[in-house]
Amino acid sequence: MSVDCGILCSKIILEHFGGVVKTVAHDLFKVSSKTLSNIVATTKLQRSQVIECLRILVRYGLVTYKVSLQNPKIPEYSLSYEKVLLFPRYVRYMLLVKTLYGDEAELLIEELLRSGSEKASSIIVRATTRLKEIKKGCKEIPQLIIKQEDLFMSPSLSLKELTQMEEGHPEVPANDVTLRVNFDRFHQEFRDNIMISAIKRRIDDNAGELMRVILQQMYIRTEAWEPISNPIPVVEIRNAVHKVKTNPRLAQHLDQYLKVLDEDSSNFITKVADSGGGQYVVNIREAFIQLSWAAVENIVEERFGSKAARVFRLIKSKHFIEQEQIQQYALIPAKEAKLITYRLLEECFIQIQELRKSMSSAGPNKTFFLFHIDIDQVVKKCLEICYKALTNSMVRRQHERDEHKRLIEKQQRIESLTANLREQGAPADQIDELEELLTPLENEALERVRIMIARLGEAELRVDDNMFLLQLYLMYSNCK
Amino acid sequence: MAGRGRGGGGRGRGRGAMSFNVEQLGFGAGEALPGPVLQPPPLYPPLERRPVPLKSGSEVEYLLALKRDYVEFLKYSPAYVLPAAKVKDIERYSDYKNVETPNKNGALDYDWKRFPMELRPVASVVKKKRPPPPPQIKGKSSKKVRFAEDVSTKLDELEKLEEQGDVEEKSEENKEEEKEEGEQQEGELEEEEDQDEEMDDGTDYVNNYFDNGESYLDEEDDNLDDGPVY
Repeated sequence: MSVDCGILCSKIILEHFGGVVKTVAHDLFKVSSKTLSNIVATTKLQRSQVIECLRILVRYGLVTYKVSLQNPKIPEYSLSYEKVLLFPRYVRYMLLVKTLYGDEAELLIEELLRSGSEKASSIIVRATTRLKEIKKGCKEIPQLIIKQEDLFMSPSLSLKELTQMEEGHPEVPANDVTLRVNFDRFHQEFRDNIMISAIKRRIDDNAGELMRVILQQMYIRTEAWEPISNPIPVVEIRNAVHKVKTNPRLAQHLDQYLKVLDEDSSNFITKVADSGGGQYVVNIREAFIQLSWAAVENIVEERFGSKAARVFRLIKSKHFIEQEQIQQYALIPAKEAKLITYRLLEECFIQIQELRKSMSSAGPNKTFFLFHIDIDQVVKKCLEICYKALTNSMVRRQHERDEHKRLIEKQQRIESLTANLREQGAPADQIDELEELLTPLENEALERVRIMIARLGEAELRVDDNMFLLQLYLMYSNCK
Repeated sequence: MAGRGRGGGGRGRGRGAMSFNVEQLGFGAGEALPGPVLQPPPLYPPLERRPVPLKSGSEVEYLLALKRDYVEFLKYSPAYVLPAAKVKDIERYSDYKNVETPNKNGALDYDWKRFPMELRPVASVVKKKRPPPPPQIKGKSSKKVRFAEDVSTKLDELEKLEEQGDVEEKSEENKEEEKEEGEQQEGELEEEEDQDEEMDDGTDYVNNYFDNGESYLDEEDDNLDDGPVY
């Protein structure tokens, strides 16, 4: 992929797995696949170290191997860089599971994410021990299993009896399975949430609820990642809404809401047939095209200003437009319009199409220069911007931490000491004395650093949000 | 002067027709163009407008706390591979100062069936088979050139041991091809060290010419006739 993507992947791996694994991963990033000896030769690390790194990368699903073409006995390793880019999203997965299925499920997922891929029994045992530490009462194991089957794509099957055995006895049951997190299922949930919140913003909370119900109905008849769903009859929607019961207003005005959704220019839902009271179809692909346009327009607005956004929207609506017409339609003075247009052109948000009237180069030729937007290119460019932003944020966070490393360590030590003292019930003056070791100036500096790191972390989460949307768009536009 | 003349002549003869219309470029003749660029653009260009403020909330804080825990966990887990410890040539003060000891809570257990052959751990039986490596001159894999010593007895010993070692090595190599490379490297290091010690026996460096000067004062009276000692 691109250089920026490579740098980002390396940074992510460095933060999570250390410098040695990063070297190996960076090496693999530059080629599609490599054998072990090749890697050892280029990275100049010891073979045992490379083996260790590869084991870890395979375990966490970041590297795959297949038989090499030259020599059928030797595997070749290739890096799945999309998996590496998922790391900043792990916390969001955990939060999603927590909201959907509860704390125990969140612990399970967290344990699984921490170890990459592991035997089910060990994960369950670890999660229950953690649960026991956190709360004194422990929920039963069968509940945990139900969540697993929803979210995990295990290479094999269910394990109800096994886990019940496991809880009391620390033996490994015979047909244990290795579990891995099913990222696709998480992404599906995220995608649905994006669509629902878009509708909520645009129309109404009730409409958002309706959207959620419709999406649930969609899954009965359609595969998760189709660009367009199969038709859903109104009867089913009506039944589902009545079942939900939390929203009486929605039930009352169901028809009106459906009509509004149908006629909305965002085209999330369209009515395709009238049989059975009406059949509706969810246009996921269309929805994401609209959403990415909106995202890109917002990016233009934030980066270049509202006038540039106006020009951008103008070009979008007219598809092909000349420089003079831009001035006319956008009601912006000529020089400024030119500046803006060329700035957008430079940053690859718009493209130029030349139309020559004659092919000869003698004499003044009237060549039309038409501006247009190639949304695929623009989305890719925005993704690159996101990669860069994420990298910058991570680098800056690391820098802040390194600069104030001494201070942070001091604070941590003092904290642990005070915690110990408090447990032992020492008198308040000792604790105060310890806390005074940190001068107010240092406290201020520490506070600033903490806020800065928190803000950068938050920024990373938001950039990741954006990246998700743009990646979904590219996926849908590629799959047609 | 010639240029001026030519330019003046050209201008006088009527406008030279260029292949594109200047106006179309976007600026008319005589408008002020941006000045010459004398240096690369600044590394951190000033932001033209403030970015949209981030929306914080308890959710975000929870996420950040989760992320911190996750990264810390990985850092102290065996998944965080540390660079190989450098072979200490001399004891350095910095070794005592920066001691990084992350807590390796046990090695990770892997499901070896899902890994290719070469990544699986080597059976430990193989390692012990090899006898303590006698000093030998391995023609193909020794990295530095070792020159033979003058002492003939040493040479004979070496030759005998080399023959033994080579035979053993070949048989071992035939059994496991790739898995042994790591061990071979370690073996080489040991052998090279042995060779080092062996090498010094016959040379001047080992013989102790050091005279600590205690006998200097005693001999002073006797050496008046001998002249300077070089």
